[in-house]
Amino acid sequence: MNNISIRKLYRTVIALALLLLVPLAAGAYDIPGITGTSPNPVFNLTTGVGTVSTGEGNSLHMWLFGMSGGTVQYTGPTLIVNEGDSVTINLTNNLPVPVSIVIPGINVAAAAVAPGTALPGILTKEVPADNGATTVAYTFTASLPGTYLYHSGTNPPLQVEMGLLGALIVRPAGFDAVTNRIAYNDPASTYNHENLFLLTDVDIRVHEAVEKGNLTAIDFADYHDVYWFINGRTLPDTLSAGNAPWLPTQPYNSIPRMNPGQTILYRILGASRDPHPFHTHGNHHLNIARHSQFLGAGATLAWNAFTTAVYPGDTFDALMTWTGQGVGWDVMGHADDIDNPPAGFSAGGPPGPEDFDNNGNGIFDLCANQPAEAFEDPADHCLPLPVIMPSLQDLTFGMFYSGSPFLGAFGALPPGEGGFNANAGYFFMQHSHSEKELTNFDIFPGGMATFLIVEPPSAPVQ
Amino acid sequence: MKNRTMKMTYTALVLVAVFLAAVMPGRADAVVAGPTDVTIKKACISMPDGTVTAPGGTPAITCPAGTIPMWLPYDNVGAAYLAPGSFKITAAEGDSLTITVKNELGIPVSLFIAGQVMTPNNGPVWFADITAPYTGVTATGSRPTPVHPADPSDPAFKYRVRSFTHETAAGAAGLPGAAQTYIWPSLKAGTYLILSGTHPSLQVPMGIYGVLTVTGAAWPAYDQEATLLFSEIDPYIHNAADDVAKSFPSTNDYKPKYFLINGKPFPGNDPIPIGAAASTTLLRFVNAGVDTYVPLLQGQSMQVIAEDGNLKAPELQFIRYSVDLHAGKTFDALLTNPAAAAYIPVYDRRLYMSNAAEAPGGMLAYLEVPDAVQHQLTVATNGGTGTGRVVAESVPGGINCDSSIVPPAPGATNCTQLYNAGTELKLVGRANPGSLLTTWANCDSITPSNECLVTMAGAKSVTATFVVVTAPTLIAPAANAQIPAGSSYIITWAAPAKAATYTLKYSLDNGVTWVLIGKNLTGNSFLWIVPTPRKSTTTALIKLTAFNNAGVNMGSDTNTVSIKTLAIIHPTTGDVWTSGVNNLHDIVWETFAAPGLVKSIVIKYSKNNGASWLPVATLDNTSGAYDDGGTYHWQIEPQVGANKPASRVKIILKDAVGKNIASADSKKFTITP
Repeated sequence: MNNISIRKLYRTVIALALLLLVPLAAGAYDIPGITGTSPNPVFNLTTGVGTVSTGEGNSLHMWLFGMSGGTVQYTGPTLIVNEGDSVTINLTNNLPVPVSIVIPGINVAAAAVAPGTALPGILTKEVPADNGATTVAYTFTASLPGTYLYHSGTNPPLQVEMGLLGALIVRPAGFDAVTNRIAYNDPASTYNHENLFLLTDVDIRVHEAVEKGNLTAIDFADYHDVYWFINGRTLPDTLSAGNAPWLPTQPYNSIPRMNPGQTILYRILGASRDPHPFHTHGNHHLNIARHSQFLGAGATLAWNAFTTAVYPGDTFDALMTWTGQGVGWDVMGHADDIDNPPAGFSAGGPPGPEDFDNNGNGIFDLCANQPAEAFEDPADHCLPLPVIMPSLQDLTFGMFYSGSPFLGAFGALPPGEGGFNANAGYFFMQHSHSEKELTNFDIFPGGMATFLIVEPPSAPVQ
Repeated sequence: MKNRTMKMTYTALVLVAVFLAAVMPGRADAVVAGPTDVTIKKACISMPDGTVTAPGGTPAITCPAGTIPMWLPYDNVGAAYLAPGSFKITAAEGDSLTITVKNELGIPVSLFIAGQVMTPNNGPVWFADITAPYTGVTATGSRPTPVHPADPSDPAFKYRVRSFTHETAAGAAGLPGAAQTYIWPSLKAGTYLILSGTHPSLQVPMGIYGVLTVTGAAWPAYDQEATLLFSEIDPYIHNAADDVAKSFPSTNDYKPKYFLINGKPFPGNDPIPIGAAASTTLLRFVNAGVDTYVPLLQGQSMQVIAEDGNLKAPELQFIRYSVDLHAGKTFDALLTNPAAAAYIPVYDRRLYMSNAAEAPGGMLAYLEVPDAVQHQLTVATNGGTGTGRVVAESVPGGINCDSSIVPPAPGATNCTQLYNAGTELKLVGRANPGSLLTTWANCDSITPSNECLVTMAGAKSVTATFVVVTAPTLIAPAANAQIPAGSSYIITWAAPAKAATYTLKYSLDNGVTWVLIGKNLTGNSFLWIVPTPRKSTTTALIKLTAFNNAGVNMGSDTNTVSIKTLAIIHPTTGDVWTSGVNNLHDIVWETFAAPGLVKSIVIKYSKNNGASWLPVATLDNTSGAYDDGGTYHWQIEPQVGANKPASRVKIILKDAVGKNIASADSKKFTITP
């Protein structure tokens, strides 16, 4: 029957994978950005006009931050510093209007670098529109570890909309990139990988008016966004590689990946004018900090949510852990022999492909004797798939289905299906649950969405 | 280690705060204070300064042009309108509050306070006929019992609630009716909204809202407090609701244009004093509006101790820099004032920071920790024949002045302000239609955009001069300006008052043909992407044309400018350069192109007046080192024979793909052997 042959295939693949397994390297994914040199990091930023691509093929005229001498980018360069650093951001300006930098939660001082003059502004001192002649230094002490948003403090309804924003990460004093990956000075904030989710949106009418030069025709009381972004890209571009050459002004992607049993630190920031309900479909996340305030020693005041309302100006730090607990079947596909008793040795014949001998002692084991993976809940171990898989002719397919319900296993698929799941991982959509925000200017799918990929242990996440 | 010290300090502070809260009760006001005898009246408000005036006409129901109708409580004891943000009552926990209301609106009103128990509450009031909501049959208390309960068209089912509590009836023809009392016999501690309970979706935005603050024994101590009341105004709804004889407008399509903190948008508001450095301020955030706002403190964080009047458990009193202020919400938060005199910007992070189409504006205010020394700024705008406003468009605002006409224009009366010593201000002139800002007197400096910068080192008086504009006038670019090719350039202009739309064009052939820059433009500025003509210097004409509302041409102004891309300084006429190994000569040029446009520079020379060219050098400008021009030290290859007096140098600017941007030939110079 189809089922048995498919299950034989699964087991073959898994067995092969296990045999070929190299010891798991302690890979760790860090949020890409510019790391400053402690204890006095200096970042030279500039501003300029850039064009940003959206998933349905449109181009948006934007005002963006970039590293001095480099390409401007959306979102702005992610700046990474250490707790206690005295940070300097030197800003020059190539836009036709003054700009500035403010960071909610941090008291930033602003002063022009001689011989330039900074302009007094409504929130802070500003860099005049003089084609880069004046530099204004924005300085602050990164007193508290956490996740922060920086954006222009000049005419914010226009300039934040136009794209002048980015993320700032302050690593705690005890952080070590290899041995102590913590978000706050508390072991309850330990993680394997970290991913950024900087949520923004765009009202195209503002960008078109600026592109045509009509800055005075914009009514900021009448706001209607039609594009939604994570880290400066819309779906499906969120799933493309970082630094993709065809997205020169959008270097950051958003693909959180982990192996079962690991933890990802989600740094979630809300930079737009609207709140967004950030939904980690299929799983809870544990909110451990908001506005960079760690929620209780040992994270005792942390709360689980599958949707977190990210308000304008908000930053959240959340932990995403996945073990397969409660999925309802053994995700690694450990299972008893289909034959009972085992077809091979106890019937007197040679072992069959469905018989495992994990410790190589010549005795073939029942599932109960197969060791559970380190991440597995013993209650899930050996749970069979609770349904009989319909035959291929009775199924429709999503692009991420590997052909098998088991992690790390591929299965037969009709021609043309699949191919988007390189390691037979599990895909969970991470997205704004305000469903209209899953579009690019009315084209579905798009918008503020990406996928968490739980990769099998055989494909360690680097 | 630093972080441990900070953690201990923070823990210590929390412990001290908890200790103080336990030992020192919150300040208790023994008496109910504030306007508790009010009449709801028609009023007129001007934006953006929030000044409230009485309507005119007989009966007094007409608001002057430029003002917006409101329905406001009027303090019968203090004899003054209570502008939004001024209707404030304070009390202590357990006090009994009675508010007496009379009503001149011609439709019923009522009051309720969400979170406080009104006793007696003789509402709700139901009405039966949607086509006659205020003149038809009503019922009080429960909805009338249906005669045929199983019949969905029984008349009883047509009743709808009009008011949550008992109503204050209007008198006849704009006169106050009988007084009505609203009693809350035992107040709960916290911050609360006082609202109209009648058709609240219309009556609250129209202005019937205020704040009740009640001190509580269990509350933490603080040195002073400040209330930040958020609300909005949709002028269209206010004008439509104004005529109560008509049926009330729906607020489904509510599109506010004005966004207020304590009844005023920026720049109509003054800094809000919050007391001495390092003391503790209780901030009370209240939203009487219809939409969600996110007030955010710039550079500071606060401890949110209560929500909707409910004190939170100490471990849940989180530290944040903003609150999610939904409609009807209240939050109380403790702020430790900065250690020295300062201004703390507070703004809506949903960025409703505009007044109609003008920015900056809207929900932007400043908390002030005053300096021991403060200085006064006085602004006058009557220096010339024209009219206009001066606005302080920098921390902490406080100036929104039009003294050029008497009486002052609606919405522009704030011409003096006391500032902390050392405050740096940027004053911006906003000319009225038909006027133009020309000069300032007594500024410390003027920016290239004609803004006035002052530093308050002592008392200061600044005067802005506006002149009347009788014909369309180009301000930037001025005549003979040099504009960099390929740049973004803001064109600005002024025009007579009747001008409504504008057209901008440029010509590169002295007016033979014109290229459109923009048409049907409004306002008085436009961002032009300057072309890059393929010549080193191009004379261009920029023409502004103004049209009135009927589309009639009101005249033009044309300025001659040069779009300069490249100029060779040396070699030039009279230079005699010797060739050879030991002789270096500097080729000097200037470039006027947008940074990043020029990627390489090719230099050639000719000994025969341009008939043929020999290479000198190709320079790479990826780094931008030559963006403004440069110097090339040229060692001319050894020449023999006669002097070459018809020599020229050619410089070609190329873009990233090798296309010529501009080129120029120098004047003739002499090369000698």
